[in-house]
Amino acid sequence: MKIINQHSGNYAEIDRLIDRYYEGLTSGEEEKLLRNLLSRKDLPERYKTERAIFGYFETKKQKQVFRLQPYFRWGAAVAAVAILVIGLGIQRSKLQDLSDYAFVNGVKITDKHMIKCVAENSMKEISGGTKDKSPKLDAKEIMTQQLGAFSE
Amino acid sequence: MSDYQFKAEILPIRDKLFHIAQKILAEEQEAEDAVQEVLLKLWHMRDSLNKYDNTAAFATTVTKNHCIDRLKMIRRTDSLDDTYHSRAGTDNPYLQLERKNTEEVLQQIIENLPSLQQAIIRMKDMEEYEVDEIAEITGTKVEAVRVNLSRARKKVREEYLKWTTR
Repeated sequence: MKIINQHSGNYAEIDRLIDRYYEGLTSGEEEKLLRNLLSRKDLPERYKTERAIFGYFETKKQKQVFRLQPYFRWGAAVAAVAILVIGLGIQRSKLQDLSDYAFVNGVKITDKHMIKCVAENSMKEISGGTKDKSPKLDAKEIMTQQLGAFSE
Repeated sequence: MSDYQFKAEILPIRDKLFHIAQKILAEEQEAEDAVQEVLLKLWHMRDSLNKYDNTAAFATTVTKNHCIDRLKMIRRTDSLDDTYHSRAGTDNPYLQLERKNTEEVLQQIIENLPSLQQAIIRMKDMEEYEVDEIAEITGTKVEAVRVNLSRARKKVREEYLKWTTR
């Protein structure tokens, strides 16, 4: 009994909305509600026409959305390229950051000129520092000595 | 052209467009329908209206051309009317459509509606405009749009029923 009442209640609402629809009085919200009510599978045959009409408009709306898709696809492609370019830019700047600094006694130095000076001084100290009275060694000899220490 | 620009630049020349339409079409209702169609046409192409130096002049040209086309169509329909009915006999377009599916039938029914009704039903039922928005774009009263929308919807139902009950 409840089911019958519920159905007849819904039909009354469908009928009311259909009447308003044909008079051009329904709002977008009411039409959405009517479309949902008409999509029920257990509706009587008398709603066949409205189901067909609403179904037709629904396919047209979907096609309109689908027609917009190429633009979105292009948009997505442009966005992907932009992200790639930005990503590469960030990566490159990070790499530049990595190559443009040095730690000297635990302190980070980013000034290229200063790094160069420190490196030169270090090399001088290694190859012929003032405190070191041993004969001058070039870089190749230093490397040979270091490697020799490992092989012993 | 933005929505605001359209309303500020195009809608104020509505009366001028109506006078042009009335001169060509003579009948007031025909001219009114033509102007509404022109305004809806211009609304749908509003994004490209800025490329015209003088949008008012462009709107005038569109109105003239539209009315001339409409006039030709009216004359053609009048002259073909008798011939069509005498040849058609018991046959009608729906008989030819019998084997086609619902979508094709409804599409043909809508395409056969008067052009203003067609434009309004498309905007309301496919593009999801509200009636008051269409009235604002066409510079008409909400009630006038409702009447056309109602006629269009009832006609679609009536023609669809004719097809399904054959």
